[in-house]
Amino acid sequence: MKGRKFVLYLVPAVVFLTSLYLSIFSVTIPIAQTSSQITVYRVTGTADLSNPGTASYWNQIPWENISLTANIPNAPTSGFTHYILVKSAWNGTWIFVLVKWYAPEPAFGAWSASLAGVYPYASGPGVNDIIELTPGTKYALESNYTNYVSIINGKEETGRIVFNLSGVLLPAPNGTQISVLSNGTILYYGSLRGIEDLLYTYGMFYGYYTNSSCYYPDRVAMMWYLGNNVPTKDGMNLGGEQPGEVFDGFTFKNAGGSLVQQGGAANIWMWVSGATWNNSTYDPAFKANIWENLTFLNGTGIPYTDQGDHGFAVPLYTNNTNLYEVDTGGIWYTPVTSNSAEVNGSLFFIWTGAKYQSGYWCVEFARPMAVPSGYMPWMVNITTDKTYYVAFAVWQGKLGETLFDKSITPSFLQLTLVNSPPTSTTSSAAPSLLSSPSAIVTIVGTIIAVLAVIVIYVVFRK
Amino acid sequence: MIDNKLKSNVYLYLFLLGIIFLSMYQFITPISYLPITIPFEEFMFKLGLLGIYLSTISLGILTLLSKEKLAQAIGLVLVLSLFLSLIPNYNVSLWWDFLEIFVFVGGSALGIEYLYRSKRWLLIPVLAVVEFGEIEGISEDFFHTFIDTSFLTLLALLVISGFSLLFYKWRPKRLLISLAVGVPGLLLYLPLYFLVLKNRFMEIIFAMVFPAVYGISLNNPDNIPAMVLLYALAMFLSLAQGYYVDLYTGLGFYMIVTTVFLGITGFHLLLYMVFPLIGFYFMNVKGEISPTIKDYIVSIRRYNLKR
Repeated sequence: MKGRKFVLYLVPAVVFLTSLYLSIFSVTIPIAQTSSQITVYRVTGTADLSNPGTASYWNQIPWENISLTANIPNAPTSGFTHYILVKSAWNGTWIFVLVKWYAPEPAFGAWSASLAGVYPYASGPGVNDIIELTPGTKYALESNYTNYVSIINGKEETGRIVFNLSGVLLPAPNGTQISVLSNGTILYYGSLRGIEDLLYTYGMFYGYYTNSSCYYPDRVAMMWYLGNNVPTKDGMNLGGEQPGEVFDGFTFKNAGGSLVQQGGAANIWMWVSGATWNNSTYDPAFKANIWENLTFLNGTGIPYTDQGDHGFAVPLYTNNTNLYEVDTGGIWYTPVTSNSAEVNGSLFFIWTGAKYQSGYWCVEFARPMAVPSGYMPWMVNITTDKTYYVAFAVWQGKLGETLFDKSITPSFLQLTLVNSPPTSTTSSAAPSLLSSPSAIVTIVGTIIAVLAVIVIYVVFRK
Repeated sequence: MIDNKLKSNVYLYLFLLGIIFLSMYQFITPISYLPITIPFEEFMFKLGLLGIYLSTISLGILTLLSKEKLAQAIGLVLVLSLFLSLIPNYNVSLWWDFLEIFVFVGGSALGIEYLYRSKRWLLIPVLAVVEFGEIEGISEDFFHTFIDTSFLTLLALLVISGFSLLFYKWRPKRLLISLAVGVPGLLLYLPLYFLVLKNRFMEIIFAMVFPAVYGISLNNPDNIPAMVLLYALAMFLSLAQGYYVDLYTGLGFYMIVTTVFLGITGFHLLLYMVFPLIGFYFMNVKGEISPTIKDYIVSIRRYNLKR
């Protein structure tokens, strides 16, 4: 009797307390219960960067259709890419990731603004970031701020600009430059992290301004989670240049671009059509041949060039503190280290190939699976028998997406390297149901399960 | 001897607590990546995790305590599923595929048998939607193909079919009380309905949050008011059925409407695959294991008397 009482009261209590314990310490083990979304198949062959997606092994690997969503939902000019198609393979030493997305208006010829900022001869689309403020936002020049200077419609005036959206007031920093279009729309020149955060928080960020000669490069990024736990959040914070930054009287808790997932870190591979696409017609950086120009690169702090002048993806690293660039240059973001021997060659370590065809961008990332030990803390080292958590982001520059204005995967996806070769074909959009091993497992599994059910019924119904 | 009903009651109440917290997890995860400040986000996330553990273990034990061998097998799988991710690469292995197929076939057989026993034929549309959700998830997991359909129509079908249960037997007085019992469920989402109707900003936010929470793919974001309204009705029905028919029917309906479409992204948790199947089973057990608070008090009293 006592034993029964023991079970009656103790077991539920243990269930509750164990659950409480696991949740207090954020043990996220059960969250991993899903089929891996991206399977990396073992193939024979090499990357086909000059014409991505044409290697014969790609025909045997099905596309995974991955949904994307707007990173900043209340900006109407955000989230133009609704899905990205992904497939992946490895050949023993290299991993290849092929991505494809619908882009009705490719942003040819636009500079990456960060790169244009350090290359003195850059001119044309993408050189400046211009923010369009929410329609209805007004401004006033407070001339009692005599130590402030503002530039309005190209004219320098003394005083501080204060924006007003239906009574919500936001004083602008010193040196703010705006212009007002004939329909009353205010354009804000420049896109400091702090101002992005403030405008967005105050509901004044409508989107990045574009017209036929002012737009931003197209981009795609793949994030690899570096922690050992199961991450739940793939987002990045809005904020200042560094955590706790005091910007024009406002204090920012986080640095813009830092990873939201607490205690986590991630490596990002960023391809930019206006910087890393080895197309000397449509990529102004390759047109100016700056990646083979050691004099220019030395000026940025990078002591090596892009040997072979191939396309690449910028390696980035994000943690709870900030977003960094994994080299000693810091063209886009703060360099992660100043030890040039440690990260020698890192900027050009991830190779890419890209093409724009029939309304779609197709970009291939190719990288040695193992990274040199000097890169290790910041770049993902890829091995078999391990599940990786990855995420994707896409920017459509001609539609006004750049920086934090983009489409992202709402949560991390699982990516697993398998030792088996691909067997299914992708001759049509939907793979034939009888051609994959999964189909056979499904059918055999169904039969076995039905038999098991019948056996259970026969045994226990009598 | 201890009343078996009482034993399962303890887990039922743990499970009820678990699914309340679980809904927090469902809401917190899709909004956590948005650059908006959510008060007590970390705390609610932890509560949500508590919900996952509580509902998985207590539903597992609840089904293990059931007389049905099939339900017991699914319960066992559910409890063990917590440890799945300790096995490397389980999610690309054939036996994991088999496990999913077993849960699907076993759960469906259980549902069909109990529908036959309960003779609640008006629930056939619910069974159809449940099976559709399972097939959708399995096709997503195995073939990575998405079955495009009008999820709102399916949801409307669930709500209509759920309503029909309230008129299965004509008991006007009980019906009136059950309508009153359902009102808090309605009040949970109805304010959101008026909010998204009037406020474009909130509509954009909810157009992202609601489909992610419930696994619905909307073709047109303007459908959001309709979706919120349908979910308000679904919450109303869960409570009303819980009173009008029995606790397990209401609970089963709630389990179905909150998770039946989550297969759209592949099943995030095995729990989400089991929920609609066991939910349908619960909707049809017809009072066999349907305790009320009164039953609970009576059995405790009986237990104490017997000592």
